[in-house]
Amino acid sequence: MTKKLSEYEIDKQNKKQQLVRNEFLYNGNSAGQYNMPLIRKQNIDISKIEFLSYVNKWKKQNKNVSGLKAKDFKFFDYDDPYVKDQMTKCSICGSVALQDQYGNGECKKCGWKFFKDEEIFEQKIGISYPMLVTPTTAREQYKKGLPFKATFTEFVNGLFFYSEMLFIYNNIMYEVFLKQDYTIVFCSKDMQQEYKTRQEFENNANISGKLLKDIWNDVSFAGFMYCE
Amino acid sequence: MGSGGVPNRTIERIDGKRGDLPTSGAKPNSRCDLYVNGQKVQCRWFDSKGNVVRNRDFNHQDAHNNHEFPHDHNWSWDKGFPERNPENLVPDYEMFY
Repeated sequence: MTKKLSEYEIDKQNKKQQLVRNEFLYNGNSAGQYNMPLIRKQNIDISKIEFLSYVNKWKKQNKNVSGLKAKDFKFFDYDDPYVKDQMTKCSICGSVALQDQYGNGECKKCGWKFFKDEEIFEQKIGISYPMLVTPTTAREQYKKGLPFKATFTEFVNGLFFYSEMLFIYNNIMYEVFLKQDYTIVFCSKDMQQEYKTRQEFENNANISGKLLKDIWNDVSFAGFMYCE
Repeated sequence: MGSGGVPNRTIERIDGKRGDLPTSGAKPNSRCDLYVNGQKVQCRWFDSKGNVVRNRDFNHQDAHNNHEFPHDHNWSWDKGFPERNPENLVPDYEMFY
């Protein structure tokens, strides 16, 4: 890349130029490819030089590099604390699964996501995280070849654990969340219902007159409220 | 944040899908940022035991505009297990950054 210089600047450079080796610093030839300063020109076939594009060559998951430009790259050692390199037994299907040093893992065979306290979660809260469905229910579903899906009770348990839940019924997404005073709000784009207590919600929440607990088998997905 | 746009070692970026941030068994005194399809959707802060203490939601389902984004949630461990407080808090950028 060459800089466009004014006549004044060119004249100024000519007056400043004193040493031969500074020849390439002036007369608009001071910068070469990628704006690198030239000390000595050499005939190099630039087609043989490959520029490392950060986007193409380095994935976002590459965590051992800092800097956004190839010339700014600094390499350092990074120990990912969540690298799943420990073998364990999946609590659902029994096959080998991988977990990190904290006990968080995922089974590639059945898709079960687990963490070290899942049994405690089932006993005390009646759910698992992040799957929502308890390990006991999940094992039964796995044996029957069914996908993992929380029961209605487990869904409500999750509501009082996480406070913001959603499910999909007939391709429509419904939200269930708690207000600050623990009022339960049940809504979609076209409806909204509110209930003061858990029992009231379980007994009366409905979609077009059909009780939610009665149509729960037709719910295709139920889980914690996250952005897709 | 460290130089060059790379988080320092107390912030872990996780590119995944919902549920990928733990509630316990996390790196002590750290923060995890969850990115879904390149968009940051959630931050979570963990105490010295690796237990979640704070949650910041940047985006999620909101059919009737009942939520303001971003908003924070506190997590309580009074019962020996985590419970997320339903109150949507104004983000506390001084204590949780």
